[in-house]
Amino acid sequence: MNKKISDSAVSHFLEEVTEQISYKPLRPSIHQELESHINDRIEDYESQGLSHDDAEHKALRGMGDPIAIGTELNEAHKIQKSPRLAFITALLLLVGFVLSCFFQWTPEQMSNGFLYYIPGGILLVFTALKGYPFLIRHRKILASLICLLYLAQIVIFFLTEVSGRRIGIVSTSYFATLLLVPVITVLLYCSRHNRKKFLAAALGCAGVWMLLMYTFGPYHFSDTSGAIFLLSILGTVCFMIHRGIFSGKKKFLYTGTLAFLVLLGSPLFLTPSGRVKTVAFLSPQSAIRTTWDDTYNGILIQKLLSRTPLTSGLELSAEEMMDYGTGAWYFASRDPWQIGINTTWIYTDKQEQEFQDMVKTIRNQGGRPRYIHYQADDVTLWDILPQHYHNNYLIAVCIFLFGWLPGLVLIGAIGLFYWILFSYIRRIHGNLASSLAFSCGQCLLWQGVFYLLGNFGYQYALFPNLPLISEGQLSILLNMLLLGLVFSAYRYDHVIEEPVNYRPITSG
Amino acid sequence: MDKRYMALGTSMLVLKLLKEQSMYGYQIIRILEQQSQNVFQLQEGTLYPILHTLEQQGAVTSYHQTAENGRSRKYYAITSHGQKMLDEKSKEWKVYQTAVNQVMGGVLFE
Repeated sequence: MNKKISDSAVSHFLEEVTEQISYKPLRPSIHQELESHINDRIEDYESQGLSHDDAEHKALRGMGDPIAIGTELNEAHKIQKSPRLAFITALLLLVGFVLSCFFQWTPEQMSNGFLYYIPGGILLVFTALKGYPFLIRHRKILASLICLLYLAQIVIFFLTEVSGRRIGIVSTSYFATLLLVPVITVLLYCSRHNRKKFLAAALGCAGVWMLLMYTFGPYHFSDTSGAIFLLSILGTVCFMIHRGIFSGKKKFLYTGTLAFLVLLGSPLFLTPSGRVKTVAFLSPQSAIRTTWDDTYNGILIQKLLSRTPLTSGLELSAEEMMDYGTGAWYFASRDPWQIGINTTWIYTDKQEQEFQDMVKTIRNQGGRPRYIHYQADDVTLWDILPQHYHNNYLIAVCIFLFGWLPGLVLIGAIGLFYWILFSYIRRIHGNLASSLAFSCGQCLLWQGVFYLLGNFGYQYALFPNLPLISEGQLSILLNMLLLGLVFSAYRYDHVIEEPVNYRPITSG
Repeated sequence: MDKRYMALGTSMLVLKLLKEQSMYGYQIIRILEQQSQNVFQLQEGTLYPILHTLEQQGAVTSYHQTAENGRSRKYYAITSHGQKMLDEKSKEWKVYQTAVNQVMGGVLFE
C-alpha cells in the first residue's frame, strides 16, 4: 500500500514538472532524467537507514517545487519562432510569384511555372514545422535513400554514356548534387568521432565525385552545381571546425580541408570543358563566338548597364536598338557573319527558299546569326534584352526597364534576406542543427551569388536559380526544402536532443 | 545574495566540476555537497534548468549511458565554449568577490 502511494508521489511530482514543458516530445527524456535522480537519492537515504517511504518523502522534498522546476526547464526548451526570416521569405516569395504571374516573358513562365510556387510554399511550411525532428529520427534511412537515389543517378549517367543517348531525367543532377550537401553534412557530423568511419565517408564521397567529374562530368554534370556544392561543403566544414565540432588543431584542419577541396575542385579547371567555362566566366570577350552564346549576353549586359540611368529605364533610339538586337554593334568590326538576319520579309514559298539559301551561305562561312523578327519601325527595348529564358537575367532586365535604383533595391532585399538567414543560423546552438542549417544556407547563398554574377555579365557555366525570386519547377522544391530545414533547425534548436556518441571524460 | 550572482555562482560551480570530469545530475549534487562540506545544498531539482540552459548555450554537451544497475543516466560534459564561459564567469566572480571584500573590510557604515 505504502509502496503504491509512494510511487504515486514520485509520479505526481514528475507529472507536475513535465506538464510545464510545452514541447511534448521532450517530456519523456526529462521525466527519465529526474526519475533517475530521485531514485538515486532514495537509494542513498535507504542506505543511511531510512525507510523507503521516509527516503522518498525526503528525496522529493529536496527536489524543490515541481512547477517552478518545470517552468524553468520550459524556458530553456522553448520552440523558437523566426518572424523576421519568415517575413522576408514571404515577401521575396510573393515578388517571385507576382513576377511569374504578370511578366510572362519566358517559356518557363508561359508553361505556368508560377503554379510551382504553391507546392513550394506548402513544402516550405511542412519542412519548417516537421523537417528537423523528422530528420533526426530517420536520419540514417533518409541518408541511405538519398545516397541510393544518387547512385541511381550515377547509373543513369553511365548508361547514357555507354548507349550514347539520354536515358532518364539527367537534368535532375543539378538538384541531386545540391541535395547532397546537407546529406554529407549529416554524414560527416555522425562520423566525426570515428576517424576510420570519417575517412571512409570522406574518401568515398571524394571518389564518387572525382569519378563523375573526370568521366561523365563534361557531358551531363552541371559545373555550376559542382562549384556551388564544393563551396558549400568547404564553408560548412570550416564552420564545423570553427565551432569546435571537429576536434584537432584548427590550422591543420583548415589547411587539410582547403587542400582536399582544391583537389576535388580540380576537374572544374583541368578538364577541357572546365577550362572553356572558366575562360568564358573570367573573360567573356575572349570566349565569344556568336550572338547565341551566353558570353554575348554577358557582354551586352555590361554594355547596356553602363548606359542605364539611376532612376529611369534605358532609353535608346530605334537604330541603337537594332544595332544591339542584331549584334551589329559588336560583330560588325569582328565577324559580320554573326550579325542577326532579318526574317520579317518572308511571306511566300519563294521568299522562304531565298531565305534558306541565304542561311546556308552564312553557315558555310562559319556564321550562326540570330533571327530577327522586328524592324527599326517597331523594335522595342523588350526585343533586344538578353536572352532571358528561365528568368536568368531578372535583375539585369529590372535595371534596364526601371533604372539602377529599383534594381539596387531588389539586390538590397536579396542581400537582407541572406543577412537575416545567416543571423538566425548563427544563433543556433546545437552542433548538428547549426551545421545542417549552415550547409543549407550555403547552398542558397552560392546560388544567389552565381545568379547575381551572371546578371552583371559574368556567367559561370549554366545558370543557377535565384532562390525565392527566380525559380524553375524542380528548383523551387529543392530550395524550399533547404530553406525549410534552416527554419526547422532554428525552431527546434532548444527542444531536440541531438544524436550523440561521446565517451565520458573521467578524472584521473 | 543577489539572485543573479546566485545563478552565476551555481553555473560557474557546475562548469568547474564538469571541467574535471563528465557527470550526471545527481553526481554533481553529491560532489557539490562533499566539496563544500554541505554548505552548498541546492534544491536539487533546480540544478536541471541550469544544466539544460548551459546545454542550450553550448557550454555543455550531453550523452546517455546505462549504469550497472540498469538505470539510464544523462551525463554532461563541458565544451570548449563552456571552458571559455567558465573563464569569463570566474573573472566576473572575482570582480564581485573583490567588491564585497572591499566593502566589508574597508568601509565603515554609520
